[in-house]
Amino acid sequence: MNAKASPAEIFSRFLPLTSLLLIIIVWQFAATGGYFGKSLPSPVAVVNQFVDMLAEPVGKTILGGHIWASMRRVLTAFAVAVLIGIPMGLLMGWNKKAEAIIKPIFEIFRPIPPIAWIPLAILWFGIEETPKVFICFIGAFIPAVMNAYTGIRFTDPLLLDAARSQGANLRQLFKEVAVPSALPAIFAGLQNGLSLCWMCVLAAEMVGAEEGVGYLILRGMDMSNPAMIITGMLIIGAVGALIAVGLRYVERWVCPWKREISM
Amino acid sequence: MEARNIDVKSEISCQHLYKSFPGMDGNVTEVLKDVNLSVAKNEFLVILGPGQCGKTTLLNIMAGLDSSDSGEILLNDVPVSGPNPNLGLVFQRMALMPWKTVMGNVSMGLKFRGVSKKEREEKARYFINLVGLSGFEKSYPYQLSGGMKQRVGIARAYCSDPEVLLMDEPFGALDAQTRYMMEEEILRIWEKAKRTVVFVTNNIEEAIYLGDRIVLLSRCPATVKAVYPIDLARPRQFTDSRFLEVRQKIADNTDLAL
Amino acid sequence: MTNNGRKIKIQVQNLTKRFGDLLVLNNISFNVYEGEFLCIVGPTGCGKTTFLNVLTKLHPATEGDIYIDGEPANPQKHNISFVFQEPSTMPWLTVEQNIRYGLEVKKVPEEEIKKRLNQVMELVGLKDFRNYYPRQLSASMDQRVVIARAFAINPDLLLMDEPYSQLDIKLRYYLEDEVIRIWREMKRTVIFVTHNIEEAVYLAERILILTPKPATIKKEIKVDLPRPRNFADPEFVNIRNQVTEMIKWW
Repeated sequence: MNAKASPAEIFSRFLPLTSLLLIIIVWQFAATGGYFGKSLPSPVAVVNQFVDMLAEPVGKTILGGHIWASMRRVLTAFAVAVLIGIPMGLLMGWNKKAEAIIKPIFEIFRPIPPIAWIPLAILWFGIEETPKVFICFIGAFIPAVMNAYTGIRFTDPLLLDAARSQGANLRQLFKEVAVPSALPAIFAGLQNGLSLCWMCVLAAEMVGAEEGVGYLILRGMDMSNPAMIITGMLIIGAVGALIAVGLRYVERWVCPWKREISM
Repeated sequence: MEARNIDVKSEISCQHLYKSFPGMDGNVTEVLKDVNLSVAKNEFLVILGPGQCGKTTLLNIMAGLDSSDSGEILLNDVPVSGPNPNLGLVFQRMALMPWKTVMGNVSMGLKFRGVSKKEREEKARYFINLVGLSGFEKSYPYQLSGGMKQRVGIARAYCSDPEVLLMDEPFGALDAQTRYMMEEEILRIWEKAKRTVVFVTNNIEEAIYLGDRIVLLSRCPATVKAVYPIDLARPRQFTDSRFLEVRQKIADNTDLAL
Repeated sequence: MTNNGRKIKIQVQNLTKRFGDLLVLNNISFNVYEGEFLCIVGPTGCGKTTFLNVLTKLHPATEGDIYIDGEPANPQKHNISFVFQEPSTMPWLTVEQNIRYGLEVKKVPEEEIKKRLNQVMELVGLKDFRNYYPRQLSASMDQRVVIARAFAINPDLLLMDEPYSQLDIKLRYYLEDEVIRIWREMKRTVIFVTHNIEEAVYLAERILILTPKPATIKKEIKVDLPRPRNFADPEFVNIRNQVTEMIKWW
């Protein structure tokens, strides 16, 4: 807005960068100082490891392949969770009977962390792809359902009245009022779901996998290669952040009106 | 009296309305008590009452959004039993759909009725123009000021082509100046597109400025305390001595809640 | 301008406020006299909120300053109290505690606190309600607590920001009379901001009219009518129309 920013403003804008830089510097000194022996690689070593893995396969595939393997699991699980979860949440929010039937189940299952399902998933589905996708599905499913549900339940009754007075029938009230007013909440649920999904895939991959970012981290431990572990961790962070940013853009595109509901 | 033909025949009327709500402490709060009123065709009737005296409840019942415990609403001698396209509503909190544009909001009633897109947009455009919002068809509510939002609300109520417009403190959320402007506007719109109007307010000056007749409600439970025909020529002046006289008369008859 | 020989209490000098390139207050200067009742009216969006925030030192002025008794206004030193439109009693305190709170903050000695509590509660008729909580009171009594609290600290300046704009007419009349009665008794300096021109003419000794943004003083009108004033008095109506014209037609 204003043309010239004061030195103080410039300084405050760079504060976040400063803290990052500081961490890297401390990290570098800690690593080269040898306080941790070989278990803490320097930032430079991690970058080298990253560049190596871009071309050189670890296990079956190169880094890109591992990321894609995890992504594939996450996206499959997420898609299924959205396709089942959102309609279910909408139904639960709109129909009192459906709410009465379905909600108690969720009250029981909601507090169980998705990772707690790993043993059962392995018993049921073996150790191939299915159990991993299943764990991710659990992670995304619950927020998808719950947010769609609360989104519908928190529809402003005034807006429903306004539409009723304009002659809307029940189906129109749902389609034209309740669903759009729940969209911001639904998107918040998708955000949560996707990041949970991404966390779950790592846990699932650590239990037994031949590819994926979780496998990379575990492999790094087996090979006593901390640089590989740290590279894996940083990739998790970066991909997670990219997913969140991407979804925010989708939301802005789907809901061009200002967000009036914030969960 | 102005040269307007108010039909003697009442268009909408309330007959012996009673309504109570269960309170928090198990007691029952009586909100409406034997409310009777009738509104003539094309009349601008103002219902004036103190804050929280059941005005909104009364209007919601008239609109068919809520039901009374006993008594009935007659619209052209037919009891109102639910929302009715012949009753258009304007809300204090505007109640615009944030995800719909001005065009979408104004034409929503026609959409619900299955009117084709071309036809409903044509009609909506007419009323958007009538309320002075041409050029804002594609704007979203958050991009509009309070006064403009309420113009959308008025256009939306008009667009479904109701016989009766029910307005629930439509200018209550606006600042003082926008309010004066909108009071002039609503009369201009009404002169151009005559409908029967039931306008609820707690502002005595607004009531006298707008109404052909004022129905004064009592404090809770609301019942009709007095009816004042206002035979001042329009446009009315807030400082006109007759205006002040009427205001004094009505103010003396209102309840002071200390 | 002399004002019945009263001395100047508040001096506002060349008050200017900019947000970046946006000029909101443009060189506003005026005086308020000791014990005066001054009303400020202005069109919507004239920067009234900014004006009050600068006046009370919540925000720094870009240029200019405010003096109380000849010294630069300082919220730590001078007593400035507020009455807003929204109910601002603290729900967890009783009527008496609500009024007492401000006095304790100002470190008024206990004896003096007791004296003033009795005085203001008598004045606003809250004596029998001293141990009530705000939720047990009606809207008008709640307002009276706020007024009592504001006057109790013997403010150098009492600022009232549209306190009655949401009330029914009868209650508004009642509270307007009430505030005039208390003001006459307590002899404090009051700045009352309102959009209601009739209210301004009813209350004020002097009315300042602001222009739209960037706000500056358009005109100052003296209201020299006997109290209690009569809304229908031709002189009253005349002043009211005069002010209305100036705000409405630019």
